[in-house]
Amino acid sequence: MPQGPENKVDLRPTLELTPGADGPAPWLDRRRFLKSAGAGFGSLGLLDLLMRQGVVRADGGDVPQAGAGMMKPRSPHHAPRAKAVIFLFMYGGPSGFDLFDPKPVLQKSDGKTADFSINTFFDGKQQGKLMASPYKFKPHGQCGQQVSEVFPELAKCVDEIAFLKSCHVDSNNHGPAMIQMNTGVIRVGLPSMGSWITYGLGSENNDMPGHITMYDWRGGPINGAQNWSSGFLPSNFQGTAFRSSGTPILDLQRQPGISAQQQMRQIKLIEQLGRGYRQANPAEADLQARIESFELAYRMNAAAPGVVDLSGESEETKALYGMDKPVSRYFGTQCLLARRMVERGIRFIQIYSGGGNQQESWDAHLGLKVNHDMHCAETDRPMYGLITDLKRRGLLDSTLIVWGGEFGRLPIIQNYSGKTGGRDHNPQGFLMWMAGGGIKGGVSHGQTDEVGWKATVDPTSVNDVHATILHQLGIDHERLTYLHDGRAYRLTDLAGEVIEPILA
Amino acid sequence: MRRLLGGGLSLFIIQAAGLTLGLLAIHSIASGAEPQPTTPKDEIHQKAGKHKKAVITPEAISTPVDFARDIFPIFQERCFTCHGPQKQKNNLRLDAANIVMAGGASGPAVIAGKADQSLLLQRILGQGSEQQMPAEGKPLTGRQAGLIKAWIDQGAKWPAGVGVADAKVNVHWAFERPGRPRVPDVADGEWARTPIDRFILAALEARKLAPRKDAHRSTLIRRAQMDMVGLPPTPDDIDAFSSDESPDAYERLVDRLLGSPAFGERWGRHWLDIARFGESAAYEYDNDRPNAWPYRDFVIRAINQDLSYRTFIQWQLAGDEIEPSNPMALAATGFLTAGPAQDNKPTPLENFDSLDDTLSTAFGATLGMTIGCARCHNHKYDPIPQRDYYQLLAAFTGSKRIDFELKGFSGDGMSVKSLGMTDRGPKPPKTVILNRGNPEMPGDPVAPGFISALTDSAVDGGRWKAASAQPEKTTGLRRTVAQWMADPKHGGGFLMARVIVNRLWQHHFGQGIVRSSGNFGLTGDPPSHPELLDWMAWKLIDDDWNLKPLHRMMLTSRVYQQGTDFDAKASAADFDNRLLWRRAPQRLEAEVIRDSIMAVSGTLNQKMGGPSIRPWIHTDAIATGNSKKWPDNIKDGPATWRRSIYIFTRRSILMPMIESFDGPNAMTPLTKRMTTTTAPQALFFLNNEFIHEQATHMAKELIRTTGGSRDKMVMELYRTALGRMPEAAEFDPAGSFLSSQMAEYAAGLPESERSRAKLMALRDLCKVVLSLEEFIYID
Repeated sequence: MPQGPENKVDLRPTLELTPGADGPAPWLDRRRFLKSAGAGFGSLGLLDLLMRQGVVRADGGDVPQAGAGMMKPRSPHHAPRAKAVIFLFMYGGPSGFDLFDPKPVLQKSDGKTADFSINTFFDGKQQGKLMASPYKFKPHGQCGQQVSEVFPELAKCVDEIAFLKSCHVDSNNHGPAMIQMNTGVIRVGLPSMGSWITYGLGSENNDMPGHITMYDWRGGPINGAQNWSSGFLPSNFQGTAFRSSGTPILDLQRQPGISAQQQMRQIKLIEQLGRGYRQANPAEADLQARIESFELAYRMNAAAPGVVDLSGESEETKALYGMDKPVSRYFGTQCLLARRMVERGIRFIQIYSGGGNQQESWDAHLGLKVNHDMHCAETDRPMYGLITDLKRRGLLDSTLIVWGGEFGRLPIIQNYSGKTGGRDHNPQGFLMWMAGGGIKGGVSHGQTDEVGWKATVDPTSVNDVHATILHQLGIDHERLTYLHDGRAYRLTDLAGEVIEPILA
Repeated sequence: MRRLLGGGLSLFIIQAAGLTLGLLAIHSIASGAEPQPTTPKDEIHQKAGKHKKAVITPEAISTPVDFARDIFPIFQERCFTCHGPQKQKNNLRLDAANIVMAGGASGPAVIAGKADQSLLLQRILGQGSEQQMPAEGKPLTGRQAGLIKAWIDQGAKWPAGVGVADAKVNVHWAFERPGRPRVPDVADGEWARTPIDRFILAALEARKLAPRKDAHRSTLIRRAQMDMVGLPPTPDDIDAFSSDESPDAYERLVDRLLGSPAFGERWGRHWLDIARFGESAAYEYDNDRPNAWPYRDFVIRAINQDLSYRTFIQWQLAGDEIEPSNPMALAATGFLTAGPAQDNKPTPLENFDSLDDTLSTAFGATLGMTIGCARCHNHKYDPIPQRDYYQLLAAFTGSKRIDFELKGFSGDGMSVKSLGMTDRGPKPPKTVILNRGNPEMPGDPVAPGFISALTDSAVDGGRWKAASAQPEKTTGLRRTVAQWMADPKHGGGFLMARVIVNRLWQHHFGQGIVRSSGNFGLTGDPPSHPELLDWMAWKLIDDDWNLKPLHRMMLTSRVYQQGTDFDAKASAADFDNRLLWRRAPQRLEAEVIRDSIMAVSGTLNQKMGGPSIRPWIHTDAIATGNSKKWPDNIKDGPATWRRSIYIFTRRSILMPMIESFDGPNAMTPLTKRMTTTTAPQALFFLNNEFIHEQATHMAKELIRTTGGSRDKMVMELYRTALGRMPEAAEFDPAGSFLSSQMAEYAAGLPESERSRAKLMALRDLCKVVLSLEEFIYID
């Protein structure tokens, strides 16, 4: 673009240097940092930089410190109702109207062709035949909430639960829908909610990761670790996969033949031999945090087995979680572990029910009843146990439990075998529930149409669900942001409203 | 602005961003009420040169024209949206006399007294090959055109007080073609060896700062070698270099490294990060892409051969169109298929997301532009209208994935399949603007086009004509974009040069001259040394886009060779070391840590290229995904002890070690690795099988070469791993550690196996040294 010299203006911004000081990096000295950050805009170049480096929360909240210290607790935006979240992720997509939201019209229309065509995942647009629910329902609790016969135990807890009956996601496919349920959008690469939450609040446990994922005995869900990825946030906030027996965390166990004492000697020598190098480079915060990371690793080695050591739990407690029955032992153990993690100040715990594909997960294409019979039996008593146990220990008020999958199921039949039929994916209207953590019990929010296909009243987006979870934790979802690629990102993308009617 | 930034952005961010970018600039751009581009359909044909333009006959006006009364209101009503106070398309603003007379991108808009020769009137009448103005809405009326003609012919008088006096055109520095900066004078001419040094020193001197003294030879060889080939020098290399007194010893070292095949393996990884290269689809089944690896080999070879960067980029965008019979050019198109894709019955939205990802990656990689922001609306900060996004997209909508059969690509003469991109046919499908970026809300169609802010409109139209003139199997559109992109005079080439120069700089010096190396837009960082950036960009263009001379110049600069000594005074003035008053230590990338561990343990298999490897990972890590497509019964050995760039990138099962040291997730372009310090990293050093096994190999080798004497083992370990002898403060504790571990191991072993205690103790010491900051950082 040729230009005359007279109108050529150099608009290059001049370089602003960031003043530092001798000694440790300024963000290691929290008081000094906050003072300088609050002192006026002269030092905002520093704030900007730290934000880009991910060592300061973009909303100007407390400063996550570099290195392993990034998990230190930080103050929320407003008084929190919940301190921890347990997200029970029913991977594959459970059917809301077969479990909690009976549809009389659907019951009366079994085998009839719907007078509208429905977008199905496998067969395109279908004039499918409606399939009545194979389950019987009964009202429960003070609130009279209907619950299917496959959840006899959980049904006792309905007065603690708020049902979200009109949820929707943007994809009809497991992969993107799960990514959306975990990160807010359907494309991969963004941070998961557990990462956002620990980025915002840190964790109250000094010896364990603050963001933990436990997955099904059959294996992990679709997308694997992308579901608990920290995306572009520092990897400190990545979810840690935690197994309920054996070695709970990867690389946690010492190699055979090496004693704790020998390993401690190893760590001490690392500290000693590296001292000179660290002292020569006082400005490198990541370098300074290394010894802390080894110490945390060592403490984790001691603390994590303590989490999975259930010898101190009574038989009554174990039975409460269904651990006395083979069918519910695995999920029950994970629910009990979740309670123990909450007690230890761990911030975000996600448990996946269902692994692999098809019937191994809640993905009931090949038979709704056989699928849900199995998965409900695995989870019913454990969920009852979790709510009941948290309540009697006074922890339910401060622990938010969220239940749901990546979508729900269609009211029409699929793969009819002559005896039973399956149900295809339904992203347009499905059910989730929340309990504890300042959520009003015994209420419902939203509705789907008379057969349960589409959300019709008060549709609830994934962004709304996320906004509500953050709100209960004391976080304003619009203010928890992170600058990346020229834009301030947030968990709720560009939308999301707190679901006020279900708040206690 | 509120919406884009995520709604509730705090004052902090706005202020912080404002400080960097100039608050006013942001506000004026963000609040510029740009209407959604409701594009008249005929504009498309105009661009393609087929349109019959509206014929306007200017009314003859013989009475004197009053500018303020007759002309300015026309400008105001019809022109200011694009050429006014807020927006100045093609650098033209019609509210300011000085700019109207000086002109915009195409030259003076008005020549007083000569209406027929004035571009302003020509565009209004639709004369010439250019688009008729106004671009949006109906043409001007005959009376309006007549008034403008008469005003110019009557002398184009612009009375003072109308419009803005002495206005300026806002052009973001990165989108402006670079001048040729002069190499600055410096006070300490002795210090500076290369022009780079003069630019750096001048900035330091201006702030009364000075560079550190040169690094030691042993530090320097380790730095250069890690940087260039990603493997530590052997003790013999270090000794030879340290004792080489010839004046060009360092230059010869640099040339040796530039010629090493490992150079491409090291620098290829940087590019694969940007290409978010992976070998599975992600999402539901995370299906393998067994034919993706030739693209990785293309990148490595291209870098080793110093393929001109222009060709490197052009082949990646359109190798199938540019050299359809060249296997390297075909393999290069794997760039377009490198990202994740929802391949299980994708919805239109998912398909479009994938296309958007391809386009955004391509333009972020090459031009440092965040064009993805213009998918749903005009870019809020950068001069990228939504229309530009779809114009560019039009070159890609006719493409499909393909497995090319490459003959003569692999060394053994066998033909290999290579995943890449080509067009479905010679006729491009219709591309439409999607309202709010939603495939379910199609809007007006667009013809192919470029980013207008980087385009010389005089050359623009001709390119597309040339593209459609050649009958062939493909549309020729991607080739046209590739040619435009690398054209420094009339296209994006000057920005492409700046961006790659900055990327090279980032990897050599730890941070870019523009720190946001993937974002040169208004929300990016300002350059620390703008003239140096432009000077090097010109050097690259002048060197016919060959990168090795540029690498060489950066490495042989004095500033590259300076020491890491910390200085409190300099740090107080420039904490971030933006002015490069010292060399800041850098944590090595995950791959370099893994490769270096194997190198010093003597196990590294330096075989190059071919299908990817799948090293052993714990079954627990494999089980985190639903598709357990990773062999869990293999044992690591020479076949998997290869450089980490050859590890199969399965998106749902990343190598835990690579992941925990901030490796790429292959989902989104990674322009700069983070450096986190986490407990899983420490657990890797303490307990992971890989390092345990490598340390055992290393210990065996040390015992063999030293005869097993304690002191010699410690010394040789330090020499091998860190390239230096231990100091007394290190030697003693290392020795007593060996003794204590050995005694304990021996006590736990039966008499007959006690000899193993030494190996076990030395293995632990090896692990300690491999865990040290000094091993995983470079000075």
